[in-house]
Amino acid sequence: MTIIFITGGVRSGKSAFAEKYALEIFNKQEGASLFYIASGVAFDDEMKKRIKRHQEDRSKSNEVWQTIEVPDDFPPEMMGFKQNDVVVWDCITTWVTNVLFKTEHSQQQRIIKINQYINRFKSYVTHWNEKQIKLIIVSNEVLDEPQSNFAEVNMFRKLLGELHQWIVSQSDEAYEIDYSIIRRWK
Amino acid sequence: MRVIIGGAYNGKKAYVKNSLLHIDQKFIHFFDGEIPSTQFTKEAYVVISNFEKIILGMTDFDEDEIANQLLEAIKKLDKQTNVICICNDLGRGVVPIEKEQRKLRDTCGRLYQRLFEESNSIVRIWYGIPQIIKECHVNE
Repeated sequence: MTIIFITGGVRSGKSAFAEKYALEIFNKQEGASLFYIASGVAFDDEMKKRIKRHQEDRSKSNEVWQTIEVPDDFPPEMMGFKQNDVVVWDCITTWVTNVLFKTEHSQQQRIIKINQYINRFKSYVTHWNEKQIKLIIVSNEVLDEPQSNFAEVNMFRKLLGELHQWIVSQSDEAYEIDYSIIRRWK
Repeated sequence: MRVIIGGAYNGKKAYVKNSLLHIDQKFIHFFDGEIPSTQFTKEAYVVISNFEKIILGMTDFDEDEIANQLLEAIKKLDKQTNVICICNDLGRGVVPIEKEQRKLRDTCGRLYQRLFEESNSIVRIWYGIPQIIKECHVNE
């Protein structure tokens, strides 16, 4: 019933805003659960610290977040959300990046595989919306700079930009956050 | 003159096409990376995008010279017809390491400032949603 989209620059306060908003919605629901879909992969020390920081922020709240790790493929739990459950997905930028890594060696099949992931994402979002799940999607602003000299980066930008357009078109609310200043676009 | 600005893949061209649906499509002309030198009538709409490509082809001039030359060409065109400029916002990323890329970014910024001054209407597009930045009610 509700899709909320939140983007912003790095360290802009996107996650804090998303988590606070999720708790607000959650506290108004009876018997619902609170989920956190994490797409980050701890591939180095910096990433491990980043993930730990997010985990600590969540553990400070009194509510119990149930974390589902979704680096690329969708685990079965993602079909089990119930009406009024609150789900924060942080973040789609990382998920799209992981999909690109996952399909890296697929050669001619690659675009088809990438599109399968994107289409699956869209069908899940549509399904959750029909089931009246409250979904908050977090992503990044990465499109306000010159074209890259690397085809891979430009493909990433195109995929992400088009996916953002789709999410915004489906959203009930859409926010852009710059250094904790929140602009509501929708 | 009108300006549509936003990040890459944000739906700027789709927005322009939608805003011109009421116009006979034979009057609408799209130019990617090129300012046309042909003649157009008052009924026509000339949509120019990819200023990056135009700027990258003008290596002999500095930032201000390029901005001036392009602005003059666009102003001249706008006197004959209706010009719509689609501008990729390049100014909010990391400073590029290559000299050429830095110059491109700076020149685009300079040109966009000049285009903004001349335009009656400026719309920023964020993933398909328009935000009016400037709107002057004059007879175009």
